[in-house]
Amino acid sequence: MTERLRADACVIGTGAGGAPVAKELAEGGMSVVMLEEGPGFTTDDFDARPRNMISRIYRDAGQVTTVGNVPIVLPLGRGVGGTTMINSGTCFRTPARVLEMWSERFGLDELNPGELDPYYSRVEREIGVSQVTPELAGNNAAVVKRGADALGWHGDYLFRNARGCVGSGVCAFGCPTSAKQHMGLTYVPRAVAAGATLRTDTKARRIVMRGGRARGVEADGLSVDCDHVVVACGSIYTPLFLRRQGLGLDSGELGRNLAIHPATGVRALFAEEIDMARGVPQSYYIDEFAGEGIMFEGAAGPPDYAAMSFPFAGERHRELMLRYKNIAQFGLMVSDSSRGFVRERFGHAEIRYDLNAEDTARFKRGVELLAELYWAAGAEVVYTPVEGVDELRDGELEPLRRRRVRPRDFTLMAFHPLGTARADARPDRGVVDAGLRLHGCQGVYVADGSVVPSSLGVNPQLTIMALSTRLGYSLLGKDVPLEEASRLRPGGLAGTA
Amino acid sequence: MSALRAITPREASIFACVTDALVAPEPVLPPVRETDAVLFFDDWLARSPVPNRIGLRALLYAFELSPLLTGGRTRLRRLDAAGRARWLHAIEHVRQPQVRLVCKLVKGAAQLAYYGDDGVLARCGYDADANLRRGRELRRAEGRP
Ligand SMILES: Cc1cc2nc3c(=O)[nH]c(=O)nc-3n(C[C@H](O)[C@H](O)[C@H](O)COP(=O)(O)OP(=O)(O)OC[C@H]3O[C@@H](n4cnc5c(N)ncnc54)[C@H](O)[C@@H]3O)c2cc1C
Ligand code: SF4
Repeated sequence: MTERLRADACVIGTGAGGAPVAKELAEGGMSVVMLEEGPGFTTDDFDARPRNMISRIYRDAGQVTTVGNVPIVLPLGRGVGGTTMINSGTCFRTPARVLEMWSERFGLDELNPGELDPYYSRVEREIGVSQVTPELAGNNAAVVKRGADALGWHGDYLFRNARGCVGSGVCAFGCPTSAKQHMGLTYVPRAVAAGATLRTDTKARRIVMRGGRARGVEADGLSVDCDHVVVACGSIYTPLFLRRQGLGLDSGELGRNLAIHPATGVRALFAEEIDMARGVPQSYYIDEFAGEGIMFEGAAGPPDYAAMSFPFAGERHRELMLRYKNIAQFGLMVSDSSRGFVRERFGHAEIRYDLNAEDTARFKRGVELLAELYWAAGAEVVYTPVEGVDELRDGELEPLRRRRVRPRDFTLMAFHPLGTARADARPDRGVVDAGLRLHGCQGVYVADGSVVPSSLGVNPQLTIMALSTRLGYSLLGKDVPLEEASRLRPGGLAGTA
Repeated sequence: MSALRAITPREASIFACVTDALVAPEPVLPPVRETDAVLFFDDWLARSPVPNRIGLRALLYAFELSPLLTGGRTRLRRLDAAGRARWLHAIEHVRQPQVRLVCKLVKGAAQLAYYGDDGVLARCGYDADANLRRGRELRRAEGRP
């Protein structure tokens, strides 16, 4: 039996994109149905063991991977809160230079810092954004800060959406203290408290269209009659969902322009104790090279997480693991110019992405810089993610510099898929407009990472949440309350003049 | 091994052997058979998309037979520790980049499976239960969700 519901709006997906718009609409007086394909995990489901959590709360047990000239693991969340449930909590506003570029290239003049400011402020308040304190940042950040200070590189403690964080070090595997203010603890329950209906384990299958406008959504065991449909399945699944029913195809851009912010990590052995499992894993950043598209951010975790990312196998790997407490690890993220695409193959998402020469060179430079930083911080050995140059000793950088690298020489991951239903004011160039309305369709909107038209150079959740909040107010036909201007400015980057 | 959901006892035995070669446990670290690495791997595969599950199971057989394909006289599980170390070195340095990539994948899975065992985590200095307890206490004391 198919259950039938009637609502003003149906929001598909409860991640960074879906949850804010659902909550704003519900609080603004609309009746809202939220559909989430995954389950509703609670903090009781999180066991502080990365291995178990990757298997249980990540989509496809953590095995989502790109295909191309270097396979890149691309973890996604699947459950109430979407990927925010498994993210690191770092918060940056969209850098002003990126918004300027969007205006020039995509005609998105509306999305300027002044216009977006109240939406950011509102989101920051809702999810409790504050700056990590040095005490919580842990030794992993302390050694990196020491290196950066010695070299005169700019960095700072990150802003994060956490309340009452105690630095238990497993943010990406489900926060066991409920400190991380992910969507499943904030926006989604607030939407429900305002009267929204939430259906978990319910996959949306199709938007019902009549006379060129949305009339409802059909999902597993459920049918929703509504006038507004917000698609927020994330950058991988939104384009597949729309394409399956022939929506959003006019520009030819649906599923294309995939940017992923590819990332890697560099490790170093220190005489002093680091203990990566203590402190906020992503607590410090270095933006000295942001102008070159290179950003450094913390990336740490317990031994099982570390084990799969350390180089070597056999005895050498064991020796390294037995010194786990003395090993530091820091991440490097490239603001990519490479672009990929997603499509459906045999019922599964195929994510194609080739790392281009420019980004490959950025990775090489980034790894060199991190090695230099670790030497400045007093490291004994540096372990790189570059095949053939696994280990550096005695302050050496030459083996790395001399190495001619190809994409497949790197071990990469990516956490920020964006752009596959990109916003562009022109219907022939983009899938949605600056207000996130699907071009050529009435009543269908997209509010997730897929609308972000380019790599941001910073972590995207705040951008996605702010755009989603803006959509909410636009559908309500109301102005966002001009709350006291936020004291926070999580976004000004050095090196980006 | 009756609780296995996604792999056969034979595949479980091959995975244990591959893991043993990849993590090379020594007395301070427990042998693979004393950990829940194999049970985790089985559970992980049960939660994996079907094509990945099929691919990973096929890979186990490829690993088992690979010593024969590279001129050896016996299968992986019959090799002694020194033989496995030589096998590991050989597969890590094969010329074909695709094969190296596949090895990297299995390496990551085996290392995650082994080091995620509670006993192994503890030897490396991480007490997951203590972390969890602290979380529960805080939630209770402060009325967090
Ligand atoms: C390990 C990790 C760490 C990260 N750290 C940070 C960080 O520190 N800071 C930051 O800014 N960003 C971070 N990110 C990225 C950030 O979390 C994502 O960019 C963001 O959550 C994307 O939001 P979204 O709405 O596009 O998709 P998601 O948050 O992934 O939400 C999409 C939701 O839609 C659901 N869904 C899909 N299809 C359907 C369907 N047909 N029917 C119903 N539901 C469906 C999915 O199950 C999912 O819950 C991180 C990501 C990862 C993986
Ligand atoms: S460091 Fe620990 S307490 Fe803080 S947000 Fe992350 S998982 Fe939660």
